[in-house]
Amino acid sequence: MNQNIQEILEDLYRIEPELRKQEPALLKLVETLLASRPDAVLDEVFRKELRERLLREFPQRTAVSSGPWSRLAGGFANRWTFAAAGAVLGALVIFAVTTSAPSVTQNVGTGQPAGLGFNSRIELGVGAKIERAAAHAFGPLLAAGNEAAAPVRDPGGSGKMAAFSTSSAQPQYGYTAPGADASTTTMPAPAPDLPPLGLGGGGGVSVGGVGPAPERMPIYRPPVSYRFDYPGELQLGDARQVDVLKRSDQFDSKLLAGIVSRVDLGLMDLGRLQDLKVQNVSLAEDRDFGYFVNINFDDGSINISQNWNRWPQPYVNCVPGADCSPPRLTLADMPADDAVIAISDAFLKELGISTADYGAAEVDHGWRQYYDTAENQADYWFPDQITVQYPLVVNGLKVYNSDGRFVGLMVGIDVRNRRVANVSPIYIQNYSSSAYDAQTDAAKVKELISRGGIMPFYSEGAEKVIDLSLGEPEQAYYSNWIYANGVSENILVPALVFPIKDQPADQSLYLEKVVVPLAKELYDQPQGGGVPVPYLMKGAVTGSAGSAEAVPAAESTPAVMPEPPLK
Amino acid sequence: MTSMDTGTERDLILRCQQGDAEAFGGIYDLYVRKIHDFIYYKVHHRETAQDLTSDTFMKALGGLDRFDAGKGSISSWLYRIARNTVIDHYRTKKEYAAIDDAWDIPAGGGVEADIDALARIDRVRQQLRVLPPDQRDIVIMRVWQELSYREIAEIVGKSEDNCKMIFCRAAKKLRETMPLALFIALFINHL
Repeated sequence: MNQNIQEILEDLYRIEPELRKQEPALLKLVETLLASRPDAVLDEVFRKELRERLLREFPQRTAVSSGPWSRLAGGFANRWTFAAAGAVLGALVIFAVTTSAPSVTQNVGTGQPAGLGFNSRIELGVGAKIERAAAHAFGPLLAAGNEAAAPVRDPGGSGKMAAFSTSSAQPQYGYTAPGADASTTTMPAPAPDLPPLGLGGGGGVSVGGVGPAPERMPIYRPPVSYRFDYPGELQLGDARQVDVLKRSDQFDSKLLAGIVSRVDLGLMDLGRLQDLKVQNVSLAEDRDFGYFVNINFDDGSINISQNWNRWPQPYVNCVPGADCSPPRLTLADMPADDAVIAISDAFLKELGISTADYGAAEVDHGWRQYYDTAENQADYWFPDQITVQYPLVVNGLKVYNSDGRFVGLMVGIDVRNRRVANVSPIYIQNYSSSAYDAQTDAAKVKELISRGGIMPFYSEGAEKVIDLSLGEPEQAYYSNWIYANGVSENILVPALVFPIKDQPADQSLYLEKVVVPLAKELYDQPQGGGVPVPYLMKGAVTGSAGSAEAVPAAESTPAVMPEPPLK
Repeated sequence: MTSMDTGTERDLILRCQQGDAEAFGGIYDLYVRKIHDFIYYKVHHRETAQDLTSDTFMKALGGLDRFDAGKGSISSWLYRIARNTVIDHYRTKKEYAAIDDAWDIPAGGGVEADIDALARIDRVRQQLRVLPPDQRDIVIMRVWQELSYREIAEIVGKSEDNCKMIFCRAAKKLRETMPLALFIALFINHL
C-alpha cells in the first residue's frame, strides 16, 4: 500500500474509525477495484501538435499584450507584430476575394490582388451553392473512423473525400421532388430483430442550475424510458433515392500561403518552403473588449471569441484563499429576449456577417427552464452568457442534430457586459449533392420513431415507460459527421423531424425533437462504426432492473425521407 | 507544490517571461498530462478533453504576462484555468447551461462520452453526482490525481484545512449513498 493510499485511508478512518479493523479485508478488495478512474490516455500525437502550436503562437499571443511581457519581448515582438500585420492584411484581402470570387484566384497567385476589389466582403451564408456529384460519392454515411469508409475516399491519399464525380448518372430524387421516379423499391432484407422497447430518452437526476450549496442533496428521480408514437400515416413516398449533401471546404489555403511566404519576417526565408498551405489564421483585436477571430482553412469556418486579455478577468491574479468571484447574477440581471437579439443583430451587422441563410433569431431559454424547476430558486446560479441562435436553412429546410436541436449560428451574449462574447461557427455554405438509397419501409421508420429517432438511448434500470405522442413532421436535414482517414466531413441527410407533444416537465428527456433520417444505409449498417448503439438493460421492459445487464441492441433503425428540391 | 519548488520550474517561468518560447514548452511538458487528465475526468470524452486542454494552454499562453509567481504556483493557475474552461464549455451549450461538468449529465444524456470511461465510472457515477461540483473536484484531485491538500488548496482557492474538511464531508456523503464495497473500492483506487 503506497503512501497516498495510506493517507486516503487515514482520511476514511477519521470518518469511520471502525473501518480500521477491517484493513486486511479492505486490501483484498483491491482486486475488485472497479477502476472507476477513467483511463485518461494523453494522445502523443495530440500532445506534440499542441506543443508545436503553442510555440508557434507564442509570439502572437504575447505580442498583443501591453503588460510587462511586451516590454521584455522588446524589439523582437515589435518586429514580428509589424511583419505579421502585413501578412494578415494581405490575408484578409485575399481571403475576402477567394471567398466571394473564387474564379479570380489565379490573378492573386501572381501577386496582383489590385483590381480585384478591396471592398470585397466575406459573404458567408449567402446563397448556399450545391453542386451535383455521382451517387454514393460521399462513401459510407456512418459517423466513425471505420475502415470501411477508407476505400471510398480519396485514393490519392490527400485525406479528402473523393470529390465530385464526373459520372453522368442521374440520381432519382425523393418523393416530394418534382419529376421524381415513382417506382418503388422492394426492401430485400427482412426487418432486423429489434430489441424490446424500453429505449428512448431516459433521465435520471435533475441537472438544475443550483449553485454551490454544499449540504444540499439533489433530487433523485427514478430513471424512466420513453416510447414514441406518431399516430398519423407516414408519407414516405416511393422514390428510390434521396439526395445527401456534403459541406465543402472552400477556403483556398495554398493561395494565402503563397502570399504570406513572401512576407519578410526577418528570421527566415519563408519562400524556401514548399507546398505551403495555411491552416489557421488567428487575429486579435488589441483593444478593450476586443475579439479573437480564428479562420480555419481546413474546415472552412470562422469563429469569434473574446480576446480575454482585454476583457475583465476577476480570477487572473486571484490570491489563493481570496474570494475573487464576481457577484452572482440575479433574475433581475437577465436581459429580455429583444435586448439580447438586438445586441446580437447589431454585432453581426457591424462585422458584415450575413444571416441570409439563417432563420429568425431565437433566444436559448435553457437557463430559465432550469430556474423554473429549481428546488430553491433563491440559490439558483444564473449563467453569465445567453445564447442567441439563428437556425441554418439549406434548400429551404432546417438542419437538426440527432437530439432534435437545430444547427445554426450561435451568438453568445455576455450578460454582465451586455456584449457579444462569441460567435460560432460561421461556415461557408457550399455543398455537393449525391444520391443515396432511400428508406421506403414504413415499418422500419416507425420502429425508429418509437425509439426516439436516430439518437435512441436507454435509461439504466428504468422501471417505467412513458408513452409520448409526436406531432406532424417537418421535412428537414439531419446533420451528421463522418470521420475517416483523419478528416471529418459534415453530411446532411434528408430527414423527418417530429415535434414531441407534452414534453416531460422534469426535463428528464433530453430530446427536443425526434429526428428520423431517410437514407436506407443508416438502417442497414451493422452496429459500431458510428451508428448509435443503444444498450438495453435486460429486463427493462419488465422492469426487473435489479438484474440489469448491459447488452447491445440488435440493429439500429432509422428512416426515409423526402428529397428536397435542389436550387 | 512539489514541482513548483524545483529550480527547474522557476527557471522555466523566468525564461518564459523573458521571451523564451521553448521555456513555455517546458512548462507545457510539465503539466499537460495532469491538466489533460483532470479535464478528462470531468468531461469523460477524449476529443473534448483535447479541445479543452488546448483551450486551457492557449489561455495560459495569452495570460502569461499577467501571471504573478508571487501570488501562487503556475500549476494551480493552470488548474484554475482548466476548471473555468470546462465550466465555460458546458455553459455555452444550450442543453447544459447550468452544469459544471459531465458528471451532472444523466447517463445517456446526449453528451459525447467514451464508452470505456462510462464503463469505468458507471458504478460510482450516481454517488459522485450527488456531490456539489466543488466537493467532487476535490475528491477527483485527491483520489484520482493524488494531489496533496496543499496543491488542492491553491487550485480551489481555499485553505488546506478547509479542503480536508470538504474532503471528509464529501466522503461522509458518499458513505451515505454508496454501498460499502463500492465506497472502499473508490478510495483504494491507487494500488
